[in-house]
Amino acid sequence: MSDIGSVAVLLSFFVTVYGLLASSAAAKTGGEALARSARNAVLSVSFLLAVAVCCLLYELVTLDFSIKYVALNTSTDLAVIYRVTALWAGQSGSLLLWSFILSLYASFAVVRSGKRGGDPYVTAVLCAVAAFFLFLISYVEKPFEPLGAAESEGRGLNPILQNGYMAIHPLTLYVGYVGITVPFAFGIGALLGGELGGRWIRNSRKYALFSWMFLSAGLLLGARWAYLELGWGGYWAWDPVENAAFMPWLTATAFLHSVMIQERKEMLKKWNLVLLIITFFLSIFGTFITRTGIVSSVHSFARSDIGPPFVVFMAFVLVFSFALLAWRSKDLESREGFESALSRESAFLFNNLLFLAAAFAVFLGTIFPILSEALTGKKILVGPPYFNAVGVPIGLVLILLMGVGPLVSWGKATPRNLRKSFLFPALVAAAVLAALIVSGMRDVVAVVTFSICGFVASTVFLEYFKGIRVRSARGENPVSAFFSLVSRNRRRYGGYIVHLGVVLLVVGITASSVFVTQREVVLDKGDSFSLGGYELVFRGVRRFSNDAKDGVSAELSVLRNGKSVSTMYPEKNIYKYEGNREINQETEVALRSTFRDDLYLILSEVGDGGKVNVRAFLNPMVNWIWAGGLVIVFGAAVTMWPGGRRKRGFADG
Amino acid sequence: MAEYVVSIVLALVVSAFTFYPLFSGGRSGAEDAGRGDRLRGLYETRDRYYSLIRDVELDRDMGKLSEEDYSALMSGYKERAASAARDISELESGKGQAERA
Repeated sequence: MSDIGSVAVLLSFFVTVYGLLASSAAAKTGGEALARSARNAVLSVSFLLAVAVCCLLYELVTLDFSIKYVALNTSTDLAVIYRVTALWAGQSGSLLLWSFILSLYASFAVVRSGKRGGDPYVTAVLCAVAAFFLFLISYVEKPFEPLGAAESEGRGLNPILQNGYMAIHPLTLYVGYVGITVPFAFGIGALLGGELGGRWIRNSRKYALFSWMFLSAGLLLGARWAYLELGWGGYWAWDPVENAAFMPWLTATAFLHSVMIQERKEMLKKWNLVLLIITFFLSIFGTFITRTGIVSSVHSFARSDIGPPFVVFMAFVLVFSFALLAWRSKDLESREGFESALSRESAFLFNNLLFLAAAFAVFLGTIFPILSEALTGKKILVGPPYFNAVGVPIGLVLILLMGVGPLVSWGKATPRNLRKSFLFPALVAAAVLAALIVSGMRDVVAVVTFSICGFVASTVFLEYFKGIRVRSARGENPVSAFFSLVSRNRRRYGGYIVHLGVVLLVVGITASSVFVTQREVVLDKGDSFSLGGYELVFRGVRRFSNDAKDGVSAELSVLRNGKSVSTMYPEKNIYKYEGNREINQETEVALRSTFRDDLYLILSEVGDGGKVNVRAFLNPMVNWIWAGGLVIVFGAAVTMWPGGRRKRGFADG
Repeated sequence: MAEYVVSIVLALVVSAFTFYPLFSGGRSGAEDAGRGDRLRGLYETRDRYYSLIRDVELDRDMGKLSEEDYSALMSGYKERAASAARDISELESGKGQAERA
């Protein structure tokens, strides 16, 4: 199977290069046969990479240790599900999966572009990006590279990757990352072809939203994985790899907002292209950070020599894209300008600038260790205090704008309009503020954040209420008015659902960051300690062993108001095989999770006499974060849901 | 041995599929495909302006747009939607005529 896989990978590289040449020639000559041939090349690459992925999965599941990748990422004791997920645990497997997802996106894009082969410029850009990744897996990091001498046992999968969330988190994130390539291709294709009307932006928006949804889900699944698996009590540490996924999310969010201005008023054409180029660059930069391990991270599971080709590719993307943008600059002038600073356009532009500022601040903090090492020879790490100091104020203003935007009208808002629109949300925010102060909350950041969240949530409520009222006035009952309102204005009302999800997320993040309580205790059998309203009693340790690991768990009874509510078992495991990062120990946290709080226990140490060292956290409202994530994904799905308005079908042609 | 055979078959199938359009000669449906693509684009444009019109109407009804802004936006969107609808009907009637001929 490995020979078939190798051939499939190599062929896919050559077919992609052919696709690039054929689509470029088609763009130059207008040759339809060439365009269709390039389209078929894209489809062929999908097929070839599907074959290659199947081959590698077969080798992984059957544990063919004569293949280097299999030997480095699996072992005989590894469960079948983790043999499958090992596909994205190492370098070349990840790059193969990346290429495969890109080929699927590209196939979908060219098929949807029409039977004549679509826009050859777009096909050329997609092929150029795919060619880079396929070059890496064909010549630099080969997934089917044989091992000099076959081993009888593999090195096993890094223990912290043996978690259910790792089965879906990287995949979700990849779908998000890779998907950015398609809107980028539409944008660059439009610049190359000079067709700078509205079509490219409509096509881009759909894919950008899809990618954004998966990036959001991937980020949150990664946070959930870190929370459960890394065992430090938190879910986000401003780690370089976390930042790498967060940066394109920030700029993609900016793009999804500013694109509305271009669609409505044909303004910000250059700006949208700039955002798209930056977002694509950041998605490649994110892959570079993750895959090269250039910045030390808890998520860098693979290191190799693919750094130099990546740097060249990133530089090429930036220089080529911005040169093209400068070349077409005159054709991208807007006919209209901003009428007033008090308009939705201005609110969106301000929101854009803040998103970009946030992305730049995160970028700077992420690359600072590399810069400092290059300039001074000393690696200076930038930690959470920097990111929090920069991120919190920007984040607060962005959340405030999330509430302000929908209330302000397009064009020019009048003071009377503004007074009328802002009255209810401002009253809600004031009521939340007063209630928090009266209840004794004194943390300024928390009080301000919750008040702003009250403001934003009330704007969402108000928008739904007003919309339902308008439809009800036309004779609909409120329930059908609600459904027809959403179905006829999916973008707007799906967007409001996303805003509501962000509110839940921000409330959860604020509460769990500001009001966390923790204790570190040494317990003998029968000892107890209290945390928040809980009392925890240590009942003893239990040792166990299986083929993969030797483990020990502590049994703790959890009581609330004197009544037993749960028994928790934090674990500490020692794996028998090293794993890729040479970590053979890991802790399994014990978690009791409710919408009010999370009781989170880590077994730090087990003494010879049966004494245990336990770290306990009481993290308030963490579940609000995950619930917010689900609401965001649901809102994005509502926004993207295809319309059924068309009365007449398309001609098949 | 079997792996080599499969690899060769893979290469042949992919090459045939990729290069087929270059040797298939003039495609009789090419013109129709072009018209289909153009129609698809026009429908998208028309639907987009319909959606913007609904959006603007809702904004006006919710009291977010002044009558002046509403009229300005509305006339632009209606004009563009009508233009797309005109092009659609021209293209479709052209196709109908071609089919009848």
